[in-house]
Amino acid sequence: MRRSTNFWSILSVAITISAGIITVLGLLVGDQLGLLSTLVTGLGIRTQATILLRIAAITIALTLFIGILNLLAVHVERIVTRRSNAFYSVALILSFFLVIGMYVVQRASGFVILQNLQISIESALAALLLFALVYGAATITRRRRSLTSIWFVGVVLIVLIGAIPLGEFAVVTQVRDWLLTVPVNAGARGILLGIALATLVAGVRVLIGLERSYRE
Amino acid sequence: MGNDFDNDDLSWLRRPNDQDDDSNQDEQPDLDWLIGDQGNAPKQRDEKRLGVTGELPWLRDRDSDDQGVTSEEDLNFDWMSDPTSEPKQGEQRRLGVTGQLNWLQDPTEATEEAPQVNARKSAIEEQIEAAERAAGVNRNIETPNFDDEETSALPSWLQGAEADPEDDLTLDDAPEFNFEDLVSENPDWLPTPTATNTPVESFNFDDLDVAETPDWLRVDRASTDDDDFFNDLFGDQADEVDLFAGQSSGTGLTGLLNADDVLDESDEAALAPSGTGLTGLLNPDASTELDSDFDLFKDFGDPASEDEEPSFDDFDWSFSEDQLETPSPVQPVRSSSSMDELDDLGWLESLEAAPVTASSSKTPPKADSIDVDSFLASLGTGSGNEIIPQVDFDDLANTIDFEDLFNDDFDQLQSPQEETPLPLAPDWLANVSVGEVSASAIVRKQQDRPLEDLSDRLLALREEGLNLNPTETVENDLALANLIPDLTDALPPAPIQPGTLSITNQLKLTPEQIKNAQLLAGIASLAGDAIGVEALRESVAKPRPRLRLQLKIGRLLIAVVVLIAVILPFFGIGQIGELPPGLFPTNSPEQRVFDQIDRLQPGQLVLFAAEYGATSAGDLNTVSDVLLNHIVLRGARPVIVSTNPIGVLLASERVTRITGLTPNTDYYIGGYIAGESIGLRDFSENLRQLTSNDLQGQSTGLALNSLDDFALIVVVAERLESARNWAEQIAPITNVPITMGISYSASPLIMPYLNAGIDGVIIGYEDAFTYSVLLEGLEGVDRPTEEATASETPTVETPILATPIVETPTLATPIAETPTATPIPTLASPTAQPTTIATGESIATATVDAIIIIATEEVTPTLTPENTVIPPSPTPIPPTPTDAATETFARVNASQAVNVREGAGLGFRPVGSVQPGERVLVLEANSDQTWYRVRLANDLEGWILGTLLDFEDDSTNWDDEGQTVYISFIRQSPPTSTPAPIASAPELIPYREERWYAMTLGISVIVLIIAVVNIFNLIRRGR
Repeated sequence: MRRSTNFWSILSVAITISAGIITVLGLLVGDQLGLLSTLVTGLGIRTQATILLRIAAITIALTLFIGILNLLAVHVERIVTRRSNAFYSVALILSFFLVIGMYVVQRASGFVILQNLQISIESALAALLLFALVYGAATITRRRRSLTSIWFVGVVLIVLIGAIPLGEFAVVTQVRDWLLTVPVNAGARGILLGIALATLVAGVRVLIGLERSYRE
Repeated sequence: MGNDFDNDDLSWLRRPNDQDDDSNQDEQPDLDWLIGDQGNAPKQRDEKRLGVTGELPWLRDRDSDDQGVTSEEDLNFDWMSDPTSEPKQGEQRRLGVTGQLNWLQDPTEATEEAPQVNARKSAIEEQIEAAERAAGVNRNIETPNFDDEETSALPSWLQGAEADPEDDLTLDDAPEFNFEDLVSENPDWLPTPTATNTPVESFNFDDLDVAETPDWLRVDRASTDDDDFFNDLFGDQADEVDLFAGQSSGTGLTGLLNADDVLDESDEAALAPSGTGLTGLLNPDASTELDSDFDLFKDFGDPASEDEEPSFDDFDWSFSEDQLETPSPVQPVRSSSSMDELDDLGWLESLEAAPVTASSSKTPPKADSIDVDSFLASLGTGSGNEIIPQVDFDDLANTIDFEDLFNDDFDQLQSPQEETPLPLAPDWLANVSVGEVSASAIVRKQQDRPLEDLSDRLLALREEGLNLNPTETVENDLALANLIPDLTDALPPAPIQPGTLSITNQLKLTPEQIKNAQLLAGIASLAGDAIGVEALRESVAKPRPRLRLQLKIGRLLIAVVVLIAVILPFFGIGQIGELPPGLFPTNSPEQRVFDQIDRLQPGQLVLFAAEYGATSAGDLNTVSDVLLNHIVLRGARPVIVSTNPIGVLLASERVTRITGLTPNTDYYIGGYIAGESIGLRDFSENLRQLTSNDLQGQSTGLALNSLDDFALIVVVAERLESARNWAEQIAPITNVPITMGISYSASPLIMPYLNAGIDGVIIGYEDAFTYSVLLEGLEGVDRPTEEATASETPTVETPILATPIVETPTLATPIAETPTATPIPTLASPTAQPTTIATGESIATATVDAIIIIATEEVTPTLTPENTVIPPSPTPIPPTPTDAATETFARVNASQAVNVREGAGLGFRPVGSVQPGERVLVLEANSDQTWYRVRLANDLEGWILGTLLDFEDDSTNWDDEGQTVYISFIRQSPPTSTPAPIASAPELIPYREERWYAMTLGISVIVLIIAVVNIFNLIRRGR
């Protein structure tokens, strides 16, 4: 479907492309590229790129601030309208102001809350994951007996046994090290390369105007 | 379902008045030949219902010629066998089929001769198109153009007949009658759009080829009046046949066949769902009734036979009630004569609900049992007998091979209640080619998994389903029939029970789901109770128990066992396995982290990024602790930042645990960096602004220009993304080395960045454990105090081992230039930083500082102008050989393995390790006897910290003997300034060994659980 072309659309595309080019030139071009370096420096592109970065970072910070305000607004509305489970909204708002107030008044008190509440609770929740994982790994062949599941269980056992500091498992430890070094490392490099290529392609598409999702 | 022939007046059948109104001519039943009475035209009401009558214009032609009596000559159908023999004119006019076949030979002539036919054809085509539009069928019907000489669309046999009329086309030449070809590719049980379900579409001859027409169809038509034949044989469906003649070409059956041949496959698929046609005729039930129709013929004229098993009315299966309520121009016509007995057809209604018995449906009647003669004789009441054609039904019945026609597959479908076939698709459907998208194709492709492939749960469900009480099957069928018409005709009923016993007790629907179910029931025009919705609602309305204590014994057991395994080591039980090594492998990534921090100079700034949250705090807090403590012990000053707001707080909390540190003097809380990768890049470009204030808004006093002002960057990350941002956004734009502490889970993904932006990595608790062991032998470093910095002058001599790295000692310049309470390092010369140390010589230089700052009780190593740093030689002086009398042995007194280094200092790289209690030969000591060179049992020599050795002979006095004083480590004068508080390494990891043993035992138990349970499962399933 052909999209309508209007002034604001063209303007947004122009701003995006120009800002992208300025940022790339300012951050990419160094001092040893001869005329290009001179041009970038002379036109103040590097400074402009820094300003643009600043604007972007501030904008992101503002979005975080707006998100906090929105979160509070949503929960206040839930309290005002007395929706179900509004109790949790009350707890959230009270906790929010309590932490801020205590941290402002006394910094150490903020650490007390952090250490004794947040870290403890989140660590406990994370620890619960252990039991779920163990149960899942133990029962995987009961739910689905396939070559994949057997392979999965075998790798899990090799990695775990290799992590046990017992001399009897030295061979398994070597196998584990090989697994982590060769196949896992290769897979990780593949993932990272894929991410890098995708990022590069996305950036180029934005710079040449093929990607205009910001107009939506 | 069922037809309500409310008008039983069949008098119109006696004599259609084709002389009446021409406008109604097409709609009038031209069945007057049945009785020869031309005075009774059908009523308008009947005309609406029985639009098929208009499909027989050729009958009028016959009537107009007053050919009331059919002679043997007229009934000569030999021309069908011999296309070259053209029938007589009289035959053409009387016998519509015969006459309309002229177009086959000369389409132009046929069109010209039959204008009414063309008109009917157009009308029917419009009906089809209207129906298709209503049904949403987008088809492009290629209407047969009979004026066109193109005959490619004609059946092959017709083309052949036309192309070579001399060929003797006989019945033998016709392809073998394949009943499956008559079947529409779309099963008739498919949902039928009632709005477009007109008999015009319902009778789809599809691939019916005249040449493939059963023999009986030709032979008997040749021997009797064709209309009589159809009407008597198929009843109302005979009209459908004629109707299709009008649909296709308006010229009879042959034209119809040709038209259908023109239709492509998709057209057929589009037509079939909206009608049933011959497919419906061949519907299992319908075909069953077709078999029994011959019984019906015998009893047709006898109303008393209604008490038996009449199934004639079952032909009504293809017409819904809507069709009856909405008069259609095309309606089935009863092919009976106008006898009074037949006028009362109320018995037909009662036959609707009469189920077809298995015997009647499965066993086709034998031809011998058909007493057609008597039936035909009963049709006439006098005058009609003369015109009733004398059909040789015996010959007809013998011609039809019903055994072959209705094979076992149909029998199987006729009595689906007897078994539950898997798969549901009948075999005959597998051979039907209807493309890849039709419903039949989908059904045909359906393949059920063999039972052995089913899991235990599915097998149990299947067995449970098979064991369901079949008593409600009839009710179930009725419900399904109401929901989806014709469904039960073709689908074997699933053994489900819609009553409260099955669904209500099994399903627990939410109110929203109940609402949807009610909506579905409303759409299906069903009452809620018909499918148990009301009962479901009642079941849902019941308050559910708020707390359901369902203990999964297996899960609970595993959790308890693991929990016990983790707890026991804290009580000294189950402490199995070995503790982590006391040193990192030489030149390993872990060792490089330690070395990088250990080279730090007091006062240098270290950028410390805590990129982890509370979830990973239990693991990574230990990493942060050892790294921060090492940094502080080295006298460096961490600047804590993070792109994770929680990480900032966590690192701040960890650093405040170290005693003797002053915020914004000994460490800085730089704050939160928003925007992750963008924020990091912005941080690197706007470093001064972002570090000028701490997290609480206080001025830090830092005046940083670039990342190169830091001596080291340390990142502790839990996720790959965080580590990747630092490696990709920061590492390329700075010369400062970056080291990382990372979680165990993210370690594989960060390894590719090793040596490509990241200099060293320590991973998880295990490396933190080793790191903490290494820190045990490290004393706190005296950091420059206010007094010291005030008195300190930049007169610190250049070390003896002049290296370009330490030409400008780091401490001297900033402190001297900024004698403030919060010394701000001005690192004007990056080359002065030890971070550029790359050679072994420079490492030795860094070790000089380490040796200097080792605090002892005798010497307070405060830097003073008088201090002359004279580093030791990086290569220890060759030891003087000792005789046996002076040999001194010592044993290692430590809980862990102890590093053996190549030099007297932590800055030297380890060359090996020695286990606790191992006996070593002491060769020499450094000047202050804090480090000793030892020889191990394997002849490996190196330096060990003196505090870790228990000498067997305490009389050793190396200095006095003059044998081992190799290093000129001179402190010329005591410190003049007030000793600064010495940062001491706290207990870095509480319960360090216990935690390790708990991990070991926990992992061992987990391995056992996983292995045992899975092996058990495999063995059990293998049986």
